[in-house]
Amino acid sequence: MSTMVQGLVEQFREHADKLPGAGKARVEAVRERALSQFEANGIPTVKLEDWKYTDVRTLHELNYVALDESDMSDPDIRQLSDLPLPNFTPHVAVFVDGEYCAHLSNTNALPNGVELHTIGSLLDCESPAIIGHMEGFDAAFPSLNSALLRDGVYIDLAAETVLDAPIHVIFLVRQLDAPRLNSARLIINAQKNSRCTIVESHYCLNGAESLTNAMTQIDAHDGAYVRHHRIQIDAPATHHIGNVFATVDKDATVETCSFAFGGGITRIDVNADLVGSGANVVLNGLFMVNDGQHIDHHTRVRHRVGHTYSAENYKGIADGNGRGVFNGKILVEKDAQKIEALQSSKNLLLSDGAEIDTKPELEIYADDVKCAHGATVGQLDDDAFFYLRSRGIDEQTAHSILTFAFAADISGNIDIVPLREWLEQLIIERTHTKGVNEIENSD
Amino acid sequence: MLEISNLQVAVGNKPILKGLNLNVNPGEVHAIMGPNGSGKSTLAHVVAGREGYEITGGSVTFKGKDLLELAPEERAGEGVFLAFQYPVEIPGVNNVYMLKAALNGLRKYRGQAELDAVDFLKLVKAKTKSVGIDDGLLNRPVNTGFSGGEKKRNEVFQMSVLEPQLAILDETDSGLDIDALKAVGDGVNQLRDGERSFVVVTHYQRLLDYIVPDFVHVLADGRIVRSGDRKLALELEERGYDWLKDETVAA
Repeated sequence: MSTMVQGLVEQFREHADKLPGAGKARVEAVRERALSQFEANGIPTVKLEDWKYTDVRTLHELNYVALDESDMSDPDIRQLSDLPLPNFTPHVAVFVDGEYCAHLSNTNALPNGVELHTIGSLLDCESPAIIGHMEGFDAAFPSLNSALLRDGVYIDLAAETVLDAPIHVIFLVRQLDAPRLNSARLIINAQKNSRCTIVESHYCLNGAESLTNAMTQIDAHDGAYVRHHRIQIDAPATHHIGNVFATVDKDATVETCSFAFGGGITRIDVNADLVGSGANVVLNGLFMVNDGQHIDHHTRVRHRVGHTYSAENYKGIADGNGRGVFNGKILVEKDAQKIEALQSSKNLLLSDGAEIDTKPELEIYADDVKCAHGATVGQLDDDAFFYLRSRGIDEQTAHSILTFAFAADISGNIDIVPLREWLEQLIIERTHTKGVNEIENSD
Repeated sequence: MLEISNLQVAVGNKPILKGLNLNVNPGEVHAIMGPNGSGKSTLAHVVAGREGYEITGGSVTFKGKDLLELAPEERAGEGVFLAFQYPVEIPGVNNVYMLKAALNGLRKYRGQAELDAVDFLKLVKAKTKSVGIDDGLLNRPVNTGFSGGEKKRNEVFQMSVLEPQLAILDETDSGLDIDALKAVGDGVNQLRDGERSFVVVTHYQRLLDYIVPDFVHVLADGRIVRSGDRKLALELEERGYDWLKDETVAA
């Protein structure tokens, strides 16, 4: 057993009685089962096909503190505007090192029909809604998340409810004495014909050495429409595991877009199950890696019934010695006729030392389907580069403009203008050039 | 202004230009004509600074500066502009944004203050009128989905905003119908101010009906084999290029 697994199991044995919901039989039982599952699986190795390109061995050797008795409740952040994060909505829920931070959050203005609960409070009252979301995973990291779960956010939208402005759920990680493992959880339960936009941000303060194990569960019931933007910005010593599970029912739509700007090792799995006729999922993603960074996206779309639709568009930009991985799997089950599945993975390699591995996978058991996929890895277009320079644009700026242009259709999907502009600025900064501060004004 | 002396250029090991001489003075319009493969486009690209060409001999100076030592954007800063035969489509980059980055790049190179958004848009508006380009094209991604004629008009429009001292038109007439040809010709003529010089590279003389050159040169097999005035172009139109090749061989 690796140091990490052993250390976490020991911590669980020692501290589980202080977790929210401790002493409640159903909570304890589900935690125990999740822990056993985690112990049985261990941390994945590159021998597993799904982890072939992402070596998390460095995590094995670290002894992360996941649970202890220290008081975590007083982060030294006085107000949200002190943080370099965009402000675009009155509805904000903030977690610091995995715990809800009331004084940075504002959930008072939510409209009728929208309920936001902290998961800690749901565990304390043994709510079936949360217990139901803690089971049914075989993979190591979701199991670990369930075993160690102590807080997060549960958003419930009543039938026919339309959320007036996005909810921004922010998970912050601080630099602490010992490297920490934070379990973050976001659950969105969108009932019949409800509509919402939820933005999930993971942000690391002052270069914290840590591992985030985040999980997002989206249940879109009949006719619901959920837009979910997931933004991850970490420091080089921060590792990040993310799992998104979306279940999309009849005539419902889930759009989930992942912006990953990397830390050390980042691995994000997006799983979408289309379970009702007319279900529709849109998966978009943009990642940028540079020196010392590794970002891996695995997407799994399962068309379980006929007349379901998926469209996927991922873009990757790798510079320095950064490494990016995209693995997109589309599974069409036997009776899922008349489905449409599109997938595109386009990648840009900006240096000789950078690497991109992209792998589309189709597994189709139905015979009347429309599936298309494409994957490319390329460099900046020489002709375009010369064209810009011949007009008087210097080499660095031309490089930056073309890199930004490559990413623009992904960021352009964001309809929250301040968020989009903030992301675009971030993309420009990550192209490592000066003199391009005006690109975001191009439209 | 532009002095090309004994210029020799190879691609790979294959010599393309084999000792080319050309002098262009302020305000002059020179047409470079010649059969396909004679090196016309190579000449245009080498002057603008495209990579992939090996300069094996000779020199190119512009206002006394060694042009071959300069990066493409520095050549643009000195006042050289190339209108592309195949203007590049750049999805994701807004046409007006690119032009602003270009103009401010040039101004920066020349030590001038950069234009702010308001002044820039005023300038663009004025130029749009004079070139007769459709406003709708301005806010689209650079050349993306433009027709052949729109692309060439966009080149002329960019030229009118960037105001080069020397404009090289590489096969600007290719792929244009007669109306587009006339519009492009009119656009270029408006930019003739007695100071600005043009090098018009073309296979056919028809563009020269609209942009009337002061000098016509015939490029064949990497050299200028004959120079003359506008009548030479008309003669080429009538007789083709073969008689010149024969003369060259005979000489």
